[in-house]
Amino acid sequence: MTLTDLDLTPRPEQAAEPLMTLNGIRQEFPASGGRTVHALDGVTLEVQRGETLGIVGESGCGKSTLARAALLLRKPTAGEIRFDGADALAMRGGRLRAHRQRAQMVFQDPNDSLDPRYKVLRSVMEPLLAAGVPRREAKERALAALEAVGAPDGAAGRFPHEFSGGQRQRIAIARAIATEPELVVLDEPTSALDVSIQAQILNLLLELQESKQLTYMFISHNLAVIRHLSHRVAVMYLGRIVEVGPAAQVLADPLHPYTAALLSAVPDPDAGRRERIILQGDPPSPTQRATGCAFASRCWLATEKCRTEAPPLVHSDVAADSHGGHLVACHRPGEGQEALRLGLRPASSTTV
Amino acid sequence: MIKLKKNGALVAGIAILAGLTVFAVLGPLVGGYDPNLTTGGPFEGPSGTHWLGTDNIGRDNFVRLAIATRYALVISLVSSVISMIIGTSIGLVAGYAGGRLDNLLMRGTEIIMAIPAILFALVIRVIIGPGFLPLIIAMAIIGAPGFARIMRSPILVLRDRDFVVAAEIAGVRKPWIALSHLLPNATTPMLVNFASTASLAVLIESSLSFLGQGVQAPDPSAGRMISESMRYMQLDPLLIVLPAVLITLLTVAWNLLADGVQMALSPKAGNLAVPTRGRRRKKTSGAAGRAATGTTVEAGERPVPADTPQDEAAPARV
Repeated sequence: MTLTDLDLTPRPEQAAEPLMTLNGIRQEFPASGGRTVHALDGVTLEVQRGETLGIVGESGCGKSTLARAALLLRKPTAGEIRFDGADALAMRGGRLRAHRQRAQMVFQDPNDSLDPRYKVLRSVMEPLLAAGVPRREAKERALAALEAVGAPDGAAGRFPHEFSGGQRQRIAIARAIATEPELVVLDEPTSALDVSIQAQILNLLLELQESKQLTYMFISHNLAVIRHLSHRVAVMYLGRIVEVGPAAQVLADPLHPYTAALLSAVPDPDAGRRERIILQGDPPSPTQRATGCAFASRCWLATEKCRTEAPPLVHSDVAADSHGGHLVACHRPGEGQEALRLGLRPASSTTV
Repeated sequence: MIKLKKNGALVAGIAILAGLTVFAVLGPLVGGYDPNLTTGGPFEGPSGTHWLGTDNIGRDNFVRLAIATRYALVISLVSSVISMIIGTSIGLVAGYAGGRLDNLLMRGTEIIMAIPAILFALVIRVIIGPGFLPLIIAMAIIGAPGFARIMRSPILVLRDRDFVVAAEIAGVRKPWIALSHLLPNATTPMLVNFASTASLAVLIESSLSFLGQGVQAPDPSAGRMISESMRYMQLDPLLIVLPAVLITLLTVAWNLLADGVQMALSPKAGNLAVPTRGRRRKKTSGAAGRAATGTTVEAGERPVPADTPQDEAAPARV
C-alpha cells in the first residue's frame, strides 16, 4: 500500500463553531544571557470539528510547542484557548482533569511514549483511570481500544519492548483514543517508523477518524503525508502561522513564498526538470523577534516594508473571493509561486 | 533475569554479606559466652574453648566480633534505608518540580554535604546524647544528600520523556506520576547508591566508635575494639587484625554489591545509566560502556548524562 491509496475522510460540513480556537498564543522561554526565546509568536488558529488540520514547518519553528500549548501542558505567556466554547486556560483541578480526556496526543517515537515498566494494558488504562473511570470498566474500554487499533492478540499483558515499532505505535494510538477524545494531536506519528509501516498507521488513523469522529491536529514536516491526510494546512515559520487554508489550495497554489519554497523542495518523480527554490542562510534565532515579517531575512521577494512591518494573517488581496478561508501573512502574496510558474528565476533558485 | 554467572561482583557481595549476617545472628549462640563478661584469661590465643582467643580482660573475641558485626550491619542498613527514603524523596521532588523548589532543595543538600561527616555526627551525638539512636539519625542525614543528588539527574531526563508527558496530558496527578513513572525507572542509581551509602555508614560508624563516640562500652564494635587494643598491638596483634578484617569485609561486600547491582540492572528495561565514580567505572568498564550506549540510543536525541560529571556522583566523605 502506498500513500496515494489512502482515501481522505470526507471533510465535514463547515461547523458553525470550531472545536478549538487558539487566539494570539505567545509562548516565551527564558534563555541564557537574559534573552527570551519566542517559541510561539502570536499564533491564531481554528480547529474545526472532524477535520484534520495539518501543521507544517521546519524543525524548531514551534510545531511541537504549539501542540503542547493546545494540550494545556504549559500555560502560554499570552493568548486564549477556547475548547468547545469554554475557556480552557481558566480550567483548574477536577474540571481540567475532565477536560483532559477530551484531548489526547500520539507521539513521534513509540519507544519513548510507553513506560517500559508498564504492561500494555496498564498504559492504555492510565488515561481512563485518571479520568475517574472505574477500574473494571476502564479495563474493558482499554481492551476495546487495543482491539480497535489492531494490536496483536494477548498484547495487553505484555511489555512494550516485546513489540515492533509499528505495533507500539498502534498501542500508543490505543491509549490516545481510549478515553474517546474529540481532539487527537498527532506529533509526527509516522516519522519514526519504517516506510512500509507508515501507510498502515496512517490508514488506521483515517479509519479511526471516520469511526470515532475524531478531530486531528497533524504535525509533520513530511508534506507528502500532510497532502494526503489533511483537510486544511497551516504553515508555520519561526513561531508564526504564515499561511493557512484548505490543503488542496495551499499545497497547489501557495501564496506565501516560504510555502512555495517548502513545496519546491518536495521531490516529484513526474515533474522532471523544474525550479527549486534554495533558501539562503539559516532561520534567524528565535531569541530575536523580527520587527517585520519573520521570513524577510531569507525571502528573495523581501522589500523594505517586509523588514519593518509585520504582515497580518489575512485573506490575500490577490483572490480573496475564490480562496475561501485561505489566509496568508505576506506583503507580496502569490508572487513567489507566480515567479516559478513564469520561469522567472528567483535570485536563489536552482534547476534540478 | 539477572545473570549471576557473569556477575562475580554481585555474587561475591551477596555471599560475604550473607556470611556476615549468619555470623552476626548465630555467632553469639554458637560461641556461648556473654560478650561483655570475662570468661577466660587475658590475651589467650585461639583455642578449642575460645576460637579466636580472648582480649585484654579475658572476653571471648569470637562472640564480641559477632556482636560488633550485628551493630555494624544494623546501623549501616537502617541508616541507609532512612537516607534512601529521605534523599530519594528530595531528589524526586527537586527533579520533577524544578525551578525554585529544586534550587532550594539542592542548596539545602549542599549545605549538609559541606559539613564534615564525622563532625556532623559528633554534633548530633552531643545534642541527643550517647547511644544507638543519634548514630543512626546522624548517618541517615549524612547519607541523604547523596541520594537526593544521584536521583535528581535521571529524574531530570525522565520528566521530559514522552510517556511522562503522555501521563500529564491524560491528567494523572503529579505525585502519582512521580511514584509510578519516574521512581521505577530510576531504581538502578538508587540501589547502587544504597550499597555505597551502606559501605560508607560502616566506615563512619567504626570511626565514631574508634573515637569513643559511637557504640558505647562495654558493648563491642569494630572501631572500639581497635581503639582499645591499640595499646596491646605488640603483645597480641590478633586483637587489632580481627576487627580490621571485619570492617574491610563489610565495606568491600557493600561495594561489591553496588558494582554487581549496577551491572545486573542494565538499561535494557529503560533504566538510565548509573552515574559512576571514576574509580568504579574503571573496574566495570565493560558494563558501564554497555550501559552508556544503551541509554543514548534509547533516549534518542536528548543529551543523556551517561557520563555524569564528577560532582553529581556520590562523593566519598569520611
